[in-house]
Amino acid sequence: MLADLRFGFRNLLRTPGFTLTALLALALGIGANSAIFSVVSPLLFRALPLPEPEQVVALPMTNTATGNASNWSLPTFKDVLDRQKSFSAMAALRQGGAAVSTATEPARMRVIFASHGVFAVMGLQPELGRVFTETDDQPGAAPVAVLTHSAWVKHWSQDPGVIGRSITVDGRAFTIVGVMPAAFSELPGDGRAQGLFLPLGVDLDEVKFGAHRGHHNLRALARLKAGVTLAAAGSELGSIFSALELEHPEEKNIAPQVLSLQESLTADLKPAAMVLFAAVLLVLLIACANVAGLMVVRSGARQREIAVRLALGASRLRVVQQVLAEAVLLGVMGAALGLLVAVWTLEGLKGLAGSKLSAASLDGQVLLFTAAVGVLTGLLFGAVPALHASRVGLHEALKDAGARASLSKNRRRAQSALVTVQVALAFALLAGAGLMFQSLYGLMRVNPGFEAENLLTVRLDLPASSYTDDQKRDYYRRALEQAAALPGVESVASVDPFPFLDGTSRNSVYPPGNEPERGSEVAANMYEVSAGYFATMKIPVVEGRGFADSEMQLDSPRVMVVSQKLAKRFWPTETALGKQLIGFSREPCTIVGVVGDVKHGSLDGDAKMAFYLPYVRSAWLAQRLLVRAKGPPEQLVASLRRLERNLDPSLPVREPEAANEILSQSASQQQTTLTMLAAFAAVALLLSAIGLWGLIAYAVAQRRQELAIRSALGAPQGHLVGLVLKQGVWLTGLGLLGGVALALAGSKVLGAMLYGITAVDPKTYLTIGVVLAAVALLACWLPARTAARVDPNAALRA
Amino acid sequence: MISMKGISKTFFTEEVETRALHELQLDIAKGEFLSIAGPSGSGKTTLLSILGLLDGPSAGSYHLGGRDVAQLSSAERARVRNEQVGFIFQSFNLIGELTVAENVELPLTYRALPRAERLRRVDAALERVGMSHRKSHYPAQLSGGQQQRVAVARAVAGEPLVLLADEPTGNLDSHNGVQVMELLKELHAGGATVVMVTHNDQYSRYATRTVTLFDGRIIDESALQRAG
Ligand SMILES: Nc1ncnc2c1ncn2[C@@H]1O[C@H](COP(=O)(O)OP(=O)(O)O)[C@@H](O)[C@H]1O
Ligand SMILES: [Mg+2]
Repeated sequence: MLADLRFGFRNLLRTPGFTLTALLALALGIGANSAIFSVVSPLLFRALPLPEPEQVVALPMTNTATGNASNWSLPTFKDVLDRQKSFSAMAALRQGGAAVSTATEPARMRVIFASHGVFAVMGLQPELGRVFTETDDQPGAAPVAVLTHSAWVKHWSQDPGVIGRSITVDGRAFTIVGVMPAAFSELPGDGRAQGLFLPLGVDLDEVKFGAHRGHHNLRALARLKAGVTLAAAGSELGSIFSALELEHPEEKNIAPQVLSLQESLTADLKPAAMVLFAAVLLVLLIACANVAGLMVVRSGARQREIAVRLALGASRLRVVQQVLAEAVLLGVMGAALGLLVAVWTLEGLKGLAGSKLSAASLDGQVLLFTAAVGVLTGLLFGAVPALHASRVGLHEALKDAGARASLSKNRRRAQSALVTVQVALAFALLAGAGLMFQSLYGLMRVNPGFEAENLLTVRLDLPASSYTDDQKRDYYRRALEQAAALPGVESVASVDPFPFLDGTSRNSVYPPGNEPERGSEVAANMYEVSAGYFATMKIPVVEGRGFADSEMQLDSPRVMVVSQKLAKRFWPTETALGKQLIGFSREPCTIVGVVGDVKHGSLDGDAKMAFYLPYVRSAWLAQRLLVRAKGPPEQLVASLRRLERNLDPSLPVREPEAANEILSQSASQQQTTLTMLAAFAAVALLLSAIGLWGLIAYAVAQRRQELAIRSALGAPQGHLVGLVLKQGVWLTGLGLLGGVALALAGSKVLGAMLYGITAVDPKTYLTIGVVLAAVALLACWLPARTAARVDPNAALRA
Repeated sequence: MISMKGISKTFFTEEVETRALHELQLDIAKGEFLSIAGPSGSGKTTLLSILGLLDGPSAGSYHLGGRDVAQLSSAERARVRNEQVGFIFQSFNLIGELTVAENVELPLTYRALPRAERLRRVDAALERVGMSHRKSHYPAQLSGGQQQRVAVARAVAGEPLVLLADEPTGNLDSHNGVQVMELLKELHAGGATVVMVTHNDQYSRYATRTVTLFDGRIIDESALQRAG
C-alpha cells in the first residue's frame, strides 16, 4: 500500500500538467464544500452548548384558526406549569431593551424578563452568586438581576465584586445577585448578546396586563424529563389545552407545539443551507467527473505499463488498488489545497454576511470533514479509471493497433459519459443560480408600500420608571419639533412599530356592535403614529386624509386611518370614510382616511391589513422617530445623536438606522445565498468547460490521422470543424437534457427560497441552456480549430 | 495534362534546411502510367504530395489540367484535390469507423452531389474493384488486399483527372500486390492517368514510363514500352 502511494506520487510528478489541472479542480470542489460545511455545521449540526440539549424544547404557540404564530399569556403559562408532568422545568420569557447603569456610563442592553424556571431549563449553574428562585417571581419581591457573561465582561470588566451591587434599569434600582457562565452569553436563538435577566414579575408590561388571559406576550421554553418524548409531551399539552378551553371559553383556538429548541432555531435556515449544500455537492461532483475524465485520458498512456505489470504477474486487484491509491492521493492533496480555497471563501462570505457567520471557522470538525471528502472523492473519481485498468488485456496492449483503437474507443465513451454528467450538473447549478437571481431581483424591486430612500429611524424608548406618560408625550413632542428644525430635514414623524425593524402588534378589529366570537376575529397590524407619518413615509393617502396635528391631543375625538386592505375587508363596495371601527382601545374610532398597504417584516410576504391610531393615547408610548432627509441621510446621523443627548443626557444614545439598509437586510439571506450560488455556478461552468475542452482536444488528437485523410481527400476546413463540433454539440445536448431532469428534481428544495417565480421556469432554463451551450461550443471550438489546420500530408506520411 | 517547371521544395526544421526537390521538370500526358522510383529519402513522396496538392512547392510552376495550381489557397487546393486527384496510400488509410461504402462515398460527400448520384458512383466503383459484396463491412473485417481495393475504389469514385499511388503494394504480400497492380493496369487500360511511387522493379514494369529520383532530382528518364 505504501509502495502504491509512493509510486502514485512519482506518477503524479511525472505528469505535472495533469496533476495541476486535477488539483485545481479538486481544490475548488472540495474547498467550496469545506467552506459551506464550516458555515452550516455550527448552525445545523452543532448541539446547543447546554447539558442534555436534546431535552430543551421550545413551545411555540399557534392560532389554530388562522395558522398565525401567537404567544403565551401569563395565566395560561401558570396553569400549564401547574398541571403538566412532562417537563422538569418550564420558563416564560419576553425580551426587551433597557437603559442600564454600568460600572461606567449608562448603556442600552437587551433584557430578558424570565420566570425563574429559565435557568433550570438551560440547566446551567451561575458562575458567580445565584440565579432566580421561585420567590423572585412573587409580586413584591426584592428587585434582583442576573448578568450574562458577555455583559459582565463588557461593562463590568469581569469584576467579581459585582454581586450585591446596585444598578438602575430604566431608572429603577436592581441588585445584581448572579453572573452566568460564558456558555450562556446569549439566549439561544436570539443571535444578539444580551445584558441581563430580570424576573418576569418586574416587567411593567406584565404587571399592567399580565393578568389578562388574552395578553399573548410571552415565549415559553421547557426541559423534558428524561425519557419523555416530544410526542408524549405534545399530547399531554394537547389534553391540558382542551381542558383549559372548557374552563376559559374565550381562549379558543390556540395550541402550542413541542419542538426541539435546536430544530426550531434552525428551521428557517434549512432551505438556504440545503440549497448551498446541494450547490457545493454539484460542484464537487463536477470536479470528480472532471478529474475522472482526465485520469481516463491518461490511463490510455499507461495501458502499456499496466499490461507489463499484469504480464509480470501482478493481480488485477493489485492494479486496481494502484490506480485507486493514486486517485486517493490526488484527492487528499486536492483537499489540502481545498482548505486554502475554503479559507478565502469563508473570508469572502464573512465579508458578505457579517456577524451572522461569526461562529464559522475552520476547526477540527471541518478539517476532518475535508479529509473525509478528499478520500471519498478520490475513491469516487478513481473508480472509472480503475475499472478501465482492470479491463486491460495482456495481449491487447502489447499487440496490434486495431485492438488498441477499440480500447481507446471505450475510453472515449467513458470520457463522453463523464462530460455529459458535468454538463448536466452544471446546468442544474446554473439554473438554480439563475432562478435565485431573478427571485432576488424581483424582491429588490418589490414596493414595500413606503419610500425607504433618505429615511432615518431611531427608537426613543423612555423608561417607565423615570417618565410619566405625560412626560413621555412631552418628550416626543419636543423630539419631533427639534428634529424638524434640523437643517437638511424634509419632514419628521414618529411611529411604533416600524414596519421592517420591529415586531408586529396584531389586534382584533371590528365595527361597533359586531364584536366577533373569539377565534374568528379579524386581526390587523396596529401602528401608533404622529401626524406627519404618512407624508414622511410617503405612504399614499388613497381616500380622506392623514392625521391632523390637532388630533394629537388626549381630548381630541377618536379617529383612525385604515389600510386599503382593511377598508375592503369591511366595506368591499362602499367607502370606509366616516365609518367606525373598534381596535385595541375598545373605543369606536371614526375612519378619516384610507392609505396604501405596507409590508411588514419581509418583502416576500403579502402586506397585512393595518390600522393607524394617534400615538398620544398609546398604552405604552414607545415611539420611533422618523426623519426624511432632503438628500443622503448620513449627514443627519450626527445631529440626531446630538438631539437625543440634549433631550435627556441620562439616557444612552441610540444609533439612527437608514431605512433602505433595513430593507435590503430583510433580503440579505437571499442575497448571500445568491452570491455564493453564483460563485459556485461560475466554478461549475468553468470546470465543465475545461472538461469538455479536454475531451474534444483528446478526441482531436486521437483522430488526427482520420482528419488528415479526410483533408487529403479534399474535405473543406469547415467540414472538419463541423465534424469535431458535432461531437461536442451531441454531448452538450445530452448533458442539457440530463440537466433539465436534475433541475426539475431539485426544484422542490429551491422552490422554498424563491419569490415571484416558480422553480420550473422555462425561460430561465432556456437562457441557461443557451449560455451553457455557448460556453460548451467555445470549449469545443478551440480544439476544433486545430482539427481544421491538420496537415493533409500526414495522410501520406503515416 | 500535368506540367511541372522548376519545382523546388525546401523544408525548414529546427534550423536544418532540407532541399527535398531541386528545380524539377516533369510533364505527364493524359493516359500515361508513370512510375516514380528512387532510393529512400530521394523525394518521391514529396513529389507526389505536390502533384496531389497536399502541399505547395517552394518555387516553380505547376499546371494541372491546364490550370496554374502552384499558388492556390489551402481551401482551393482542397477543392482541386477533391475533384481532380484520386489518392491510393501505402497504408490504405480507410477510416475505421466507416463502412466500406461510406469510405468510398467520402470524397463525394464533399461535393454538391445528390445522394442518389453518390450511391450510384459508389456502387460502380466497388463493382470495378470487385468489392460490391463487402459494402457494409468495416475495414477491420477485411484483408489488406481487400482494403487496398476499397481504397482504389474510393480514389476512382470521384472520377479524378489523375490517380496518385504512394507505394500502393508496400503493405501487401506479393499475391495481393499483384492483384492491386492488375487493378491499376485495368484502370489505366480504361483511360486513367496513373502516377505511382514504387521500389519494386517488377511493378515498375506495369508503367508506361519510369522516372528515377536521386537527391531531389530526376537523374534518368527512360521510356519503357509497356509489356503485356
Ligand atoms: N515535413 C518535412 N519536414 C522536413 N523534412 C522533410 C519533410 N518531409 C520530407 N522531408 C525530407 O525530405 C526528403 C525527401 O523525403 P521523401 O519525399 O519522404 O522521400 P522518399 O519518399 O523518397 O523516401 C527527406 O530528406 C526527408 O527527410
Ligand atoms: Mg516515401
